[in-house]
Amino acid sequence: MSFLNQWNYFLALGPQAILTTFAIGILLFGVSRNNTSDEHQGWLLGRISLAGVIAAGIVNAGLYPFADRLSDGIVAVDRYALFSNWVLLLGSAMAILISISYVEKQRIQVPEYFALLLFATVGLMLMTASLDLMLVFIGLEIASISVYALATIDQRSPKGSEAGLKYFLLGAFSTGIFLYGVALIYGSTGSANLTEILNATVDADDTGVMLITGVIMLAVGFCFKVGVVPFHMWTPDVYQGSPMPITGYMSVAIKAGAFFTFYRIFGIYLDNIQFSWGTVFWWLALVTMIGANLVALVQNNIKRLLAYSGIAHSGYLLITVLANNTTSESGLLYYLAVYTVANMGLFAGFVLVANHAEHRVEVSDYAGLGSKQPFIAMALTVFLLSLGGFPATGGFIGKILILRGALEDNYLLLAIALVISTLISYWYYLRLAWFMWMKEQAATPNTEKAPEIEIPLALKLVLAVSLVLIVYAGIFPSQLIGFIETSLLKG
Amino acid sequence: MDSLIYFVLASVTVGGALGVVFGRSPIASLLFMIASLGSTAGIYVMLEAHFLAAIQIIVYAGAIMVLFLFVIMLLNLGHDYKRDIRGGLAILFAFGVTGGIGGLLASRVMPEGTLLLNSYPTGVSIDTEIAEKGIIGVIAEPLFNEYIVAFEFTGVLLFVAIVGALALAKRSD
Amino acid sequence: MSGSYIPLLVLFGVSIVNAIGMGIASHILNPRRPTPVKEMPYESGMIPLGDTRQRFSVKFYVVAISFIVFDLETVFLIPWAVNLQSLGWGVFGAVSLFVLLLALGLVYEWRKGGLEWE
Repeated sequence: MSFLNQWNYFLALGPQAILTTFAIGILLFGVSRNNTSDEHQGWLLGRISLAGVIAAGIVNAGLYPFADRLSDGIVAVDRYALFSNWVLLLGSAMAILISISYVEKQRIQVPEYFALLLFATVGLMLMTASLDLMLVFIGLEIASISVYALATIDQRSPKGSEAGLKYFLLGAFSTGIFLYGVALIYGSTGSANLTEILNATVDADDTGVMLITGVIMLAVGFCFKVGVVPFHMWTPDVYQGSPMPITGYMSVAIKAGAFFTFYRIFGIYLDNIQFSWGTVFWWLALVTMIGANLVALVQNNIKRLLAYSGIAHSGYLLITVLANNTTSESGLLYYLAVYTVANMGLFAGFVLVANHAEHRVEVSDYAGLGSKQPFIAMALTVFLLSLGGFPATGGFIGKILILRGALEDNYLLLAIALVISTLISYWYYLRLAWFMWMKEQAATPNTEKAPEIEIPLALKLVLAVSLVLIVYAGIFPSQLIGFIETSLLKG
Repeated sequence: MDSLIYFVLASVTVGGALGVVFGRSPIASLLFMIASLGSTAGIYVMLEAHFLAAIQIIVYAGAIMVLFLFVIMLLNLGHDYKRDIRGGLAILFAFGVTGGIGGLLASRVMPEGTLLLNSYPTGVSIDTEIAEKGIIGVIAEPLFNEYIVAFEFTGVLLFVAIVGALALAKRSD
Repeated sequence: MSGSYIPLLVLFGVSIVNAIGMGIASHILNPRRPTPVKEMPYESGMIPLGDTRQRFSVKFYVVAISFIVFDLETVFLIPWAVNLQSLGWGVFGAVSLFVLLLALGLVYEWRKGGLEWE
């Protein structure tokens, strides 16, 4: 029923505990010194938080011998949770590296920035590891509140304030819907514990109104967080207004954390009553894939473009929740890992081109990047191709896995929609690449000459590592797939 | 008698909630919300959940409503505002989506399906547990054993709330 | 539910009737001799200028948030305190950690200047 020995909990939640300690340490460090105008605070605190992420990673690696032996309480320490920890830690490490120069240049409150970034990761990691809807809710809230604050942390930016307020109001609304769903599920099954919900629904051939409503409200709450059409309205505005590294983090970590949890809840523990939510998800996936890709075609702001691209990816990933066989589960894990790397790499490039600020965010600003900054342009092109799912990039393998999983469960129409919407998405991914390589920078008088881009070491690292990982995952996928196959919930 | 009190409380709860939505000024909505939350506390009392009722009054009707009031005054809501909802097409879209999902759901509900699941675990009656552990003990036992992790992370959540509020409200100097 | 709540209901009833009754009674019983000066919003005060609705400072918000956070801390401590003996030392450690966490939050808020009104 529960962990009898309280220490087991500390062991099981080691990575989360370490990150929390580091976050609190950073905050107290930030207020312990009077000279807050320290020039190199970003550099120093960035390293400390990176050290925290690495420490959490070490603990996470050390948890592997205990995996599946500690999983009887409301916290799961299965290899699935540990794998999702890897993805989330990777995403936050990259976000931290991207942020270091940005926060110094933008004069953002550095300790709060990094601490909230770590707290958000804690919440997401807690959420993916929880076996109880109450704990899912608490994890979701920790992550959401941190990101609401991060979205608007640049107080001088009106757009940032707008983004933060919008995100906060809609996020709070969706959390309310989510919590209502939890309450209804609790009311109709008698427990918020996922294992007991599974037992209660084992021979459910007639589901009551209350349970179905609860399940759907739960799904709607998640769909808000990952931005599934028609719950995506906030995404473009919030992505556009937030500080750029935070946009990257939102598009990657929130989505990954929510989808890992989404799959655990719906794919495994609510699988018995799939007949009730399956049709809704089917439609949501279809509308999301087609709609988001079509709207993305006309976007000129790269952050909005990436927002719609992220929505489209949510649509692809919904198929894996629906098809939930082993193939599509590996597809989900593979896709999220690769998507995290590619999207964060992309945002690293964006931050560089924007020169650690918020200007030069139009697609046309990327004209001529290929001739001036071949390394950045090359990396960005590879990431774009990976997001589009081009062969020889990691995204291709992920899409193939999702496609195969969908076909194994006879979701033929969704598979066709996936292929068609991928073809549509090539247009806007390649359009950006085409601007980089084929267009010369327009010599209009109102656009000042683009400043020379100098790449800080941290960003060089992010770009290089992501580049290597994407290409490696695309050409030699077997190792990663092998590792993922040991991490599945459906073993 | 009991059901009469229940219906009074329930109708105040629902009516208050409707008042929140249709209230003319935000402050009026807020007062309706207090009425709604207060009668929810009354329902808790009828369910013998006295501790919850007290918490409901202290935290929700007291503290959180004050916060709401501050936010309303902070945003200076309540007069000459423009509707932020875009015109006909968006509303049509919203109703279409809601109706679509609702229709899908309705088609999944079996005609003979009950409100609750068939295998609803009846479990131990709450009365015997209350007699055994006391009204607060019924909450404390699971909170500090089974849900101890959730309890600790609630602490983290509260911490994040402080940090978030200060990061937004305090200007860095 | 038994009849044990009847006194409570009577109390509520009396206070509601009392509150409404006083309002009505003073409305009915008071003598009315209106003059223009008495009709003013603030009798023998200053004539109000501008809109009374002004934006509140965000400082109130910070105060309210801190109040709620520490209010909730108390709410979590009450069930523990009531059942202190049956819960044991393990829970004592867990609660200490919780309190420590929020104490660090208080330290942070203090140092950051969240408790000052400036």
